Amino acid sequence: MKSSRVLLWLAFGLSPALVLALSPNAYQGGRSRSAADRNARNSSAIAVMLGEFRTSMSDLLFVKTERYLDSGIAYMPHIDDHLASVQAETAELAEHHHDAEHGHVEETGHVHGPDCDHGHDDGHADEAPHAEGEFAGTPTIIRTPEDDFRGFIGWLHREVKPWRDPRLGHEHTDGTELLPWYRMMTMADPHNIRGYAIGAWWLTDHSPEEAVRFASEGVENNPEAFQLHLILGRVLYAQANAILADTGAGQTQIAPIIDRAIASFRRGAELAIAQRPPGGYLDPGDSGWDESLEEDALASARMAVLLLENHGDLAEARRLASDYTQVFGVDYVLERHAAAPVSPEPHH
Amino acid sequence: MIATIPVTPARAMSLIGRGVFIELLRRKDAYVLLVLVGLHALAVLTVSIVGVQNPATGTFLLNLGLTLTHFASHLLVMLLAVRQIPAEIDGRTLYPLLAKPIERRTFLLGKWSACTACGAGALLLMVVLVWVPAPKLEAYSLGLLAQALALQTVSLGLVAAVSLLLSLLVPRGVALVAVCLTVFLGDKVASLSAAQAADSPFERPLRWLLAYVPDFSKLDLFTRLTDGIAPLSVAAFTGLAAWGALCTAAALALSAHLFERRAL
Repeated sequence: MKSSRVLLWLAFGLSPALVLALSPNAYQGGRSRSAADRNARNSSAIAVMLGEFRTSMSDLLFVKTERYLDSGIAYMPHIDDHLASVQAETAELAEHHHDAEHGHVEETGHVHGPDCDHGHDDGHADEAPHAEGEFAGTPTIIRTPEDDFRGFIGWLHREVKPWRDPRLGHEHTDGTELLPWYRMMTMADPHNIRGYAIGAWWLTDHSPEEAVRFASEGVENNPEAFQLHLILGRVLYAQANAILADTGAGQTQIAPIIDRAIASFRRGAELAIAQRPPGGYLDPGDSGWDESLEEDALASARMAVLLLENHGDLAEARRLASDYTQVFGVDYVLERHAAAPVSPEPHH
Repeated sequence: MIATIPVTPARAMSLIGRGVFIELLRRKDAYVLLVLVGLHALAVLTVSIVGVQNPATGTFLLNLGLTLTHFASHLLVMLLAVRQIPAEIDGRTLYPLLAKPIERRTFLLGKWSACTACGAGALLLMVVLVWVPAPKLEAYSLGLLAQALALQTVSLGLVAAVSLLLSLLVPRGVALVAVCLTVFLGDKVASLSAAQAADSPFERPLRWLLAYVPDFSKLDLFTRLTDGIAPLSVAAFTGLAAWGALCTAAALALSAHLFERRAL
């Protein structure tokens, strides 16, 4: 009897070793996390009826940050496949905007071609209030006076709750107050990839070092999430640029950071290729690989190639571009680099 | 001469269990929770008849229903278990029971097994209520459903054990709040606390220490099920079930220790 008690307490004493090794809810993908599924849910009448619970019960913190971002105004879901990607949500990181008509590449790895129908400001989040018309037409949860059958009650509702005429577009706030929410989001759920990605992006402007630390924590908790390798590469690159701008340091001083960024982009691209179905987002199977994931995968590949090229390793850049082209098929940036002659001079 | 019928531990447990079941039927808690789940089922049935617009919405509704089931069954077991011993002491019904004689350990085990069985029964009923009318437009692994139900039952047993333990330590209201917080927010609080010590030498010891607080989210596979993920490996499933059983046994052993030393 006594020995069985001792055995029980001994086993209980060692039980953390077992439970810490088991994480049944840490997995890649899943319908509740898929941007395409989220859009489908959000577009249904049931989601509208359920209001706050429209995305999923575990996504409430994200809805909260969305509200903060929109100055407290509740809009109908309006994030499409493109905007759902980490790449698009963090597109405003780009410091050097190129002429879209010429099909140049931003630091983000996104290509603006002649057929590109979105501008630089179409990321969901921004630092400064947008120009009139940004997301104009996205209906608000509280109806406009013209559509509202409730008369005085409707007027009162618009007066006491944050509301803005949807025809005027969104008024986005500074993201500073959002940072604790992202911290809480990722502390509560260390597998919240979107929380890590967007939180790291917001942090970049305030402190690139903190952003790198936050993104690294995300990668550590989710080593298979290629989007986090992409964002880590991006914040590392932003950190290198910040050092260049603030201290006037030379290329050699930022070389270790750039090398780490390249490694991160390459790792992201490798993971994305391993997870991507053969047909990408057009694959007929039920892989859950949507346009936003495809865009993030391409961004990782492009950034790895571009940074390698910009920092002198042209042969490796060309080889990588050629490899990635075989996987992703037609892509303007990758094809251009795969075909480029190897020149000894790096260009910046 | 009065004939005494010997009370075997099994018979004692079954009689105690019957008492718990009758109490469950007499109180409103189970009905309120069942009505809540029933309303959800009715709403889902209506939506299914009208037509669900896309498979993702169907899955969302199923997830909502299963989450509600998880919440309701756990709440039911907490409400039931947390009042068992204090109510028997307050109503002085414990004394004739122990005078039978029934060992305190048997009494405790009877209460625990009855609470767990009531919770498992309610869970099964509610899962049927949620599963049958839900529009199943996407594939869900039946193997994982079986694993999820098995681990939910382990989780209910653990909730019952922790509730009984806390009801011996603190007043029942406080015990109920503490169990509620542990079950529904325990993993979040533990994660937040561990994150405070991130990158410090205390991180690992703190994580180890916090792992003694049962993480009920590890026993909830419903979101994994609706996410379309494959069943757990045999090793992972067995590991989780063993961990749940171990925590339950530890909570029951501690409860028995406290109960046996308690002056009545």
